[in-house]
Amino acid sequence: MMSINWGVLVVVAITLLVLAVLAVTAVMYIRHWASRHEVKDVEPGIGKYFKRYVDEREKAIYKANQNIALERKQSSLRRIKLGMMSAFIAVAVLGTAASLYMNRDTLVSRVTLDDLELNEIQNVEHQWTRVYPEQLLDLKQQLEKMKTRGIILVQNSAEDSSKQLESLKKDSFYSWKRFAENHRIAALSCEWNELSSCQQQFRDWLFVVMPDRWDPRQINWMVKTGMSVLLYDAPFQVVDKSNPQPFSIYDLTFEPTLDQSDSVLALAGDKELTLGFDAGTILEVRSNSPAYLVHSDKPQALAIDSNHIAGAEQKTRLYAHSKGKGRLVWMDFSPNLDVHGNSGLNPTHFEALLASIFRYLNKESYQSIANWPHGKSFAALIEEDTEDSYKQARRVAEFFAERNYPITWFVLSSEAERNRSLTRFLAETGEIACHGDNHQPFTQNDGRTQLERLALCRKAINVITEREVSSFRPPEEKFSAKTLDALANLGFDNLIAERGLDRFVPIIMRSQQTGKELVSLPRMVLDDYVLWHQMEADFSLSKRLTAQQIDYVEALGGLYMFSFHTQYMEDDDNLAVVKFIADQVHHKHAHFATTREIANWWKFRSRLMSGKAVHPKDVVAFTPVIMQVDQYGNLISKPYTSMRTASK
Amino acid sequence: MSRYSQTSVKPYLFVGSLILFVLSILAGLEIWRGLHQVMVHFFLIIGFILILRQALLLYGAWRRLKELPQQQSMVHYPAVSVIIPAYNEEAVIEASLNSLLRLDYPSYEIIMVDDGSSDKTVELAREIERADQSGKLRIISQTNSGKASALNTGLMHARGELVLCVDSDSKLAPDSLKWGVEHFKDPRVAAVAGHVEVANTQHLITRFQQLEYLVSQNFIRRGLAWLGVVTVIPGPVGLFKRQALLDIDGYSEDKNLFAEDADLTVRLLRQGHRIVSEDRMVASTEAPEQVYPLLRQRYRWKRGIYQTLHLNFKDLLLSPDWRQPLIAGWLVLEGFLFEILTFAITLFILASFFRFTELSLLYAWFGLLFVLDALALILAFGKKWWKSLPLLLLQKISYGYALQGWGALSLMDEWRSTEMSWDKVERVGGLS
Repeated sequence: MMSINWGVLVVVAITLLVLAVLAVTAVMYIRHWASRHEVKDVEPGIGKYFKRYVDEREKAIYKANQNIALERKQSSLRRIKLGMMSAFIAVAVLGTAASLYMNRDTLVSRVTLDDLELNEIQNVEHQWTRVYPEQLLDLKQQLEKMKTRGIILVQNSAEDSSKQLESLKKDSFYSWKRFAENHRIAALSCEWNELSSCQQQFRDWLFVVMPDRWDPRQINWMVKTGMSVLLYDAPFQVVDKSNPQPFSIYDLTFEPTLDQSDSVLALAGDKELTLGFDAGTILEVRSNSPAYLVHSDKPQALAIDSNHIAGAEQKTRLYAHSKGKGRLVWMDFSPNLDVHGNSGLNPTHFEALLASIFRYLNKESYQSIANWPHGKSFAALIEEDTEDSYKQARRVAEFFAERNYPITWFVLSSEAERNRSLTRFLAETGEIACHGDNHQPFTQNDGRTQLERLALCRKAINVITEREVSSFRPPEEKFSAKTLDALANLGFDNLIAERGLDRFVPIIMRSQQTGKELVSLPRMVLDDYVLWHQMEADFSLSKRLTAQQIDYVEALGGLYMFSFHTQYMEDDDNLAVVKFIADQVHHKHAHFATTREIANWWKFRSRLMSGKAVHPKDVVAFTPVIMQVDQYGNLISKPYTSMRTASK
Repeated sequence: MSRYSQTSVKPYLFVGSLILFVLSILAGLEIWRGLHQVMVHFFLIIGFILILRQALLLYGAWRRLKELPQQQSMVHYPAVSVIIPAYNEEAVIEASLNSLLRLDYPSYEIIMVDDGSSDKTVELAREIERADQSGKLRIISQTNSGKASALNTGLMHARGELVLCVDSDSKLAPDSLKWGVEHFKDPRVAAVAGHVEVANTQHLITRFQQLEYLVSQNFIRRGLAWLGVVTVIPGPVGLFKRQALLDIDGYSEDKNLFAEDADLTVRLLRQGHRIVSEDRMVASTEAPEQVYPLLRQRYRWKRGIYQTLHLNFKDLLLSPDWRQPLIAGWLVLEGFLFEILTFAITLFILASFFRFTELSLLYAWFGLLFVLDALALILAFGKKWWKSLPLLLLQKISYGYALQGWGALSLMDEWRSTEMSWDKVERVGGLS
C-alpha cells in the first residue's frame, strides 16, 4: 500500500491558502475600484437646482430613484464580487483537483530501504577478470604449416628514380625478409620479369608482392591459376608523387591522397580473415605508408581514429579475395610486431591476425559462431538516460511503441518516483533499467553507499513497474570496481559505461570468487552530448553523422549504441534524429535489441564459443549462425543445429 | 501647480508589468519550455539580489545598532515644537495629546493643528488644554486643507529649534525626545526617523502589521540609517531641524502627492542632509483592524512612494553627491521593481504548482523569503526571536501575499493614472 507524501500535501495546502488570499485581495480591489465609480448618494435639497425649482414631492421621487440606482449599483457590485470569488474558488479547486490527479505520483511517499533489506544484501568483494569468447589462432602453429614451403618476395630490384619510393621498396623487402628469418621460413626473391618462371618453380609458395609498380594482369593471372598472393602496402602508381594514378584490382581501389591522417585498425567481424575475432577488434597498427586511400565493398578491416570512435569514412585496411583455388590478401601494415612499438597493440591479437591471414592463404577451411544471433550482420541498441525533463520520454516512448522498436530506459529512480505512471508506460514500451537513485557519480561513494544507492534504485523501479531490473548505466559513465561488486551482489546482469574499448562488442567480466558474470556494453559512437552540445550539430548534420556511423558499425559487424538524454528531446529536431536512427537500424536489419537482450545473447554466445552446455530453448530463441570459410575461400553461413561447440 | 504630472514612462511600466505577469504564468504552466528555463534563471537572479539586499541591510542595521548612543549625554536640550495635525480624530486625540504632555523633556511645546474637523476633536483637545497646567499645548484651527497643509501651518507657528511631527493616532514613549535629540550633535543630521510600533495588537491582522513594522519597515530604516540615507521618515514620529524644513518650504501640498512624509524625506536627502533613525524614539500607532481599511492605507502608501520616486528621480540621479544616485536606485528597487518582480515570481510559482514540476523551486522560494525575514526578526527581537517564528510564517503566507498582490495592483493603478483620494482610515480608538 502506498503512503502519502505529507510534504507535498503541506505545499498544496500553503498554495491553496495563498490562492485564497490573492482571491480575497482581488475582490477587495474590485470593491476599491467600484467605490470610485459608484453614484454618490446625492441628498435632494442640496444644490441650487433642488433648492430653487423642485418641490418636495419631486424631491422625494428623485431621492427614491437615486436610492434604487444606488441599490442596483451595490447589487451589481455584490454580483461581481460573488462572481470573482466563485471563479477564483472554481479555478483553485478544479485546478488543484486536476493537478493532483495528473500529478498523483508526487503525492505518494518515496520508496526507502529498511535496515532489514539492507542487511540481507551480502556485500562480497570480488576480483574481476575480463573474459573474451574470441578464438584466436597461434601464429607459430600456423607458420609451422608453411615450413615445407616458403615465401616468394616479388620485387623489382632496379633502382627507382624516386628516393622515397626506393626507400619504401627496400624497407618493405627487408621487413618481410626479417619476418621470414624470425619465423624460420624460407624466403626467396623474384623479379617481376621472372615471375612466370618463379610461379612454375614455386607454385605452392606464398607470393608476397612488395610495393612497386604492380601489374594487375599478372596478379590476376596468379590468383586465377590457384596461387596465394599477398599484396603488401601500396602500388607505386598511387604513391608516386610525380604522377599519382588510381589503381584497382578486383573491387579494391587505391587512390592517391594528400591526407596524412594517422589511424589504427578495426577488424570487421565474421569475415574471411576475422572469424574467431570479436567484431570491431581494434589493433593499434599503423599503415606502412599512409599517403593513399583504399576502398572496398568487402573490407576485412577499417581505419579507425585513435579515440576508438566509429569513423565517418570507411577506409579499408585489409582485404581478401578468392577465385577458384586462388587467394589474394592485401594488407598495409608491417608483419613485424616490433615495428608497431608499445602503443597499446595487443600482441596476441596481432599475431592471431597474421595467423588468420596465413590460414586463409594456406587455403584451409574453418568456422566460428557469428557475432550476432539470427544471422544478423550487426547489432543496434538505443537507450535513453531518463533524468531531467523526464516527461519528454513520453513522446519518445510513443514512437518506439508505435513502431515496435526496442529501447532501454535508464531511469533515475528519484525522477521515476515523481513520474510513476509515465515510468510504468516506459516499462511497457521497452526495458526499464537503472541509471542510479540520483545523478551523483557513484565513484564519489564508498562500496556500501554504492550498494545502498543501487538497491534503492532497483527497489524503486521494481515497486513502480513490477519489473525486474538487470541493467545499469552509471551516471556520467563513471564506475569503479566497487560498483561492479555492488552490481553483482544485487543481481544485476550488465552495465553500459565502457568507452574506448578495444572492440565493438560487449565484454564479460567474471568474478573469481563467485563466478558471477557481468556483461559490459561499449559505446563506440557519438552520443547526444557530443553531437548536440559540443558539436552543436543541426538536424541535417546530426543525420549525416549518425548515418555514417551506423554504416561504419554495420561494416564492422559490431554493436551500434546510441545513447541520449531526455533533456535533448525538447527539441523536435533531436527527436527526429532519434527516430531516424531507429528507422535506419531497423531497415538495415540489425539485431535491434534492448540492453538485457544484447547481454543475454553475449553470455549465450560466450558459452557456445567455449563449448559449454547451453539450453535448447535459448538456441531456438537466438537461432545462432555458424560462419564458415570453405576450401574455395567462400564465406558461407549455416544455422547452428547441435549442442556442440562450433569451434574446431 | 502640481509637480506631479503624467509622463510617457508610466504606460510602458504598466504594459511591461502586464507582459511580465502573463509571461510568468505561461512559464509556470510550462507552455514553452524555453520560456520556463529563461524565467527560472531570471528569478534565480532576483533571488540572489534579494539575498544581497537583505545582507546589506542586515550589515547596516547591525552597524547602526553598534553606533547608537548608549546614554543620554545632552547638557543643553534644544527647544522642540511638537506638531500634531488632526482631522476628525475624536477617537484617539485624547490619548495622543496626553502621551505628548507626558514627554520627559525640559523644553517643548505642542501645536495641535485642527484641519477643519467636523467631530469633537477640537472640543476634546480644548478640554485637555484647559486641564494642562504647563501651557505647553496650543491649538490652531484651519479649514480642511489636508495633512501636509496642517503640518505646514504647525511649522509656521513652531518656535523650537527642532520640530517633532507626530500623527494624531500615535502615542509617544516618554523618553522618545531625549533619545531623538542626541543625534543632532552631528551637524550633518537634519532629521531622525522614529521607531513605529502597533498599539492595538489584540487582533491577528494588527499583530501581522506589528511584525511587518519590525522585520520590514523599521528594519529597512535601521539598515539605511547606517549610511544616513533613510528614505521615509514615518508619519507617526519624525524629528527635524526646523530650519532644514523651512529651507525646502516644508511639506509639499501637491494634491496629487499622497506620501508627503516620503517626499519630504527625499527632498531633505537631495539637500545633502543625513537622515538617521532612532529605535528608542518609539511611537505606538493605531493600525487598521480590518482588511479593507488596511488595504486602502497601503494603496495610498504604495502609490505615494512611487509618486515620490517619480518626482525626485531625475534630480537624485543627476546629483553630483555620490549617495543620491544610489538613493534613486534604491527607490526604484523598493518603490516598484521588487514589488512587481516578486509578484511575478508568485504568479510563476502558483502556475508551476498546477504542473507540479517545480516543487523544489516552490520550497526554495518560500524558504528564502522566510529565512530573510527571520534574520531581520533576530535583529528585532534578540534572543526571543524564535517565539515569533510561527506568527511570521503565517504572516508570510497570508498577509504577505495579500499585500504583495495589492501592491502590484496599486502600482498598476498608479501607472494608469487612476484617480485617487486621501481615503482616511477610520479611527477605532485603539490608542486608549
